Amino acid sequence: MLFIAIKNNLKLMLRNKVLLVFLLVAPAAITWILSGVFEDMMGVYSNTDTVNIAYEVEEGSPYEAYLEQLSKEMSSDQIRISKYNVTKEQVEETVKKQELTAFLYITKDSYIVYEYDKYNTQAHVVENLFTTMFDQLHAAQTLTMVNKTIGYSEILKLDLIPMATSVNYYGIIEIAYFAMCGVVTISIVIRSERKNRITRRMQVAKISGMTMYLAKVIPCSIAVFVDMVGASILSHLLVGNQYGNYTESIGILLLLSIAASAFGILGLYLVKNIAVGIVLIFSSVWFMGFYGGTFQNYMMNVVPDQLRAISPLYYVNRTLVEFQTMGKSDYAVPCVCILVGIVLICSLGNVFLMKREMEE
Amino acid sequence: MEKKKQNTIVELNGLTKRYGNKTVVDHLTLSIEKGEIFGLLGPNGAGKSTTMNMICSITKPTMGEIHIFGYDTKKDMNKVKAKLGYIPQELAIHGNLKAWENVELFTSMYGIKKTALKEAVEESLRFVGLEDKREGFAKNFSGGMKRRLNIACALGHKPELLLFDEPTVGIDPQSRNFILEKIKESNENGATVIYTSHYMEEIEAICTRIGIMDNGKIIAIGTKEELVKMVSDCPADTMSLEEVFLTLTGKKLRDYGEGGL
Repeated sequence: MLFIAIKNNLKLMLRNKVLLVFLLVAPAAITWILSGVFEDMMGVYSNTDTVNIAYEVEEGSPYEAYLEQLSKEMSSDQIRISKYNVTKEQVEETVKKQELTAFLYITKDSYIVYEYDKYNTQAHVVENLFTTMFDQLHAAQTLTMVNKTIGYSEILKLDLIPMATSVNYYGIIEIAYFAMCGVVTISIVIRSERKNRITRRMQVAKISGMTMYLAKVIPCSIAVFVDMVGASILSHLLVGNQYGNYTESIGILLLLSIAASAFGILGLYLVKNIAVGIVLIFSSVWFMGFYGGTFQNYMMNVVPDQLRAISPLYYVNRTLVEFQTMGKSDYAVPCVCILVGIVLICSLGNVFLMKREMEE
Repeated sequence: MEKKKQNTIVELNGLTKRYGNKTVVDHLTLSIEKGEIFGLLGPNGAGKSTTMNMICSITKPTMGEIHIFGYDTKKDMNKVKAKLGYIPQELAIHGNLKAWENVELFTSMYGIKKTALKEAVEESLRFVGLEDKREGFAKNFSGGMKRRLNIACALGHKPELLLFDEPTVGIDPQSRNFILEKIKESNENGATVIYTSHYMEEIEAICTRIGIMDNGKIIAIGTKEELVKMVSDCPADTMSLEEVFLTLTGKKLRDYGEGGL
C-alpha cells in the first residue's frame, strides 16, 4: 500500500505544474536578484583599493634602511607600507584590527610574512614581492639569510571564512531557504484528502499513522529534493553559481529536504486549516532565514550571534557556503545533528497527530 | 474471540452516540442477516450516517456494541476491515488522479498487490462501466461518473458487506438506475448491503428489509408490506413507502445539520 500511496501522492504533486515551476524558477530568480543587489556589499570584503602592509624591524637589523626606501617607492603603486611598533605576539591582533593585507616581521637574521587570508589574492602578491626582494638581496650577498618562514595564513584561516562570491552565496542559501518552504508540494495532497474526505476511506481501511505519514513525507522529500537539485542546475546555468564538496553538499540537501518535509507536514497537521498552516510555516521559515543569513549576508554580523545560533538554516547555510569556499566546514556535524533532530522530533509528532486523526 | 451466529452479518446492541448533550443515536439494537439489502430510512438528523460511520469504525460509539461477521469491532476491527466496503456520501476521490489510479490507491489499502491489484482495478472499473474512462481524470468526470468511481473505489477488495451512504445524491436518473442495478448485482453476487437514502423509491426498489429511524432510534422495521401493515389496514401495493414514512415520522420539517448536529 505504501508504495502505491507514495506513487500516487507524487503524481498529485507533479501534476501541479505551476507550483513545480515556481519552486524551480523562484530560487534561481531570487539568487540572480540578491546576488546583484549585494554584490558590492560583499565585494568590500574581498577587494581593497589600497594594499596595506605593515612591518616591524628589530633594532639593529640590516633591513631597516632598505624597507624605508621600499615604502617610499611603493606608495605611488597603491601599496602602503607602514612601520608598526608591535611585538611578535601583537602581530595577529594588529593585522585583524587594522585590516592589513600582510605584516612583515623582521629580526636580525630572519623574517616572517604574516598573510591575512581575508585578502587572499593581494596577500599572495605581497608574499611574492617580499620573497623576490629577499632573494635578490641574498643573491647580491648584501645580507645573510638564515631563516625564512611563511605561514601565517593557516592560523588566521581558523577565524575567517573566505568570502564566497555573491552569486555562489545567494545561489546556495536561497536553495536552502526554498527547500524549507517545499511543504507546499505535499499541501496539495493534504488539501485533496481533507476536501474530499479521503481520510474516511483510510479510517475504514485502518491505515496506521506511520503508513499515513510515510506516504506523505517520502514523496514530499523526493519532490523537494528533485526540485532543489533542478533549481540549483537552473541557477548555475543562469547565474553560474557553484557548490563545493558535491557529495557532502548533496547529502546535506537531501537531509534538508526530509527535515523540511517533516517540519512542514507537522505544521499542516497542527493547524487544520491548510492556508493558515502554510502562512505559519512560511513565517517561521522566514524568521529562520532572516537569522540564518538568507536575506542578508550572515557574514555582515547584522544579526546577534545568539539569535543566529538558534536558526537551523544558519547551520545549513554556513555548512554549504563553507564547503564551497573552503572545501570543509566545522558546522557540518552540528548541521547534520540539527537536521536529524528535526526529522526525528517532527516525525514523532506527525505519527502521533495522524494516528489521532485516524481515531477521531 | 467468540464468533456470533454465522448468518448475522451486523449486530448492533444498545448502540449510542452522544455529542455533548445531544444524543444522535439512542440505544440502537439491530441485526442484519447475510444476503440482505437493508435500507435505513429517516429524516435529516435521524442518525443514519452516524450509525453507518459507527459500523465502519469512523466514529466511536459512546456506548453499546457492534459485531460484524461475529467480531466485536472494538477489539477485532482489523479482522473485519477487509470484508467491509464503505461508499461515503461525499465523493471521496482525488480529482487530480485518473480513474484507475483512484481505484488502485484505495484498493491497495487492503493489502492487495501487483497482478491481483491490477485485475481488481480493471474489474471494479468494468463493474461500474468506467473501463473506457480509466485514463480520465476524476475532476473532469460528470456527477454520475464520479459517483460510479466513488463506488468502484470501495469494491476492489471484494467486500462481503457493502455500506452505501446516500450514493445517488445529485445525479441523473440514468446514473441512478445504473447504480441501483449494480447494488442489486453485488447482492446477487453474495454481498450483504446496508443502504441509506432519502429517496423512498430507491429503498422500495432494492431493499429486502427497511428500518425507519427517527431521533436516533429505529421506530419501525420490516419488509415494505410489514411496514404498511403497521400503519394501515390497506393492501401493501396501495400505499407507498413515502406515505408509510410520513405517517411514522410526521410531516413537520426537520432542520438539522449533518449527523444531527
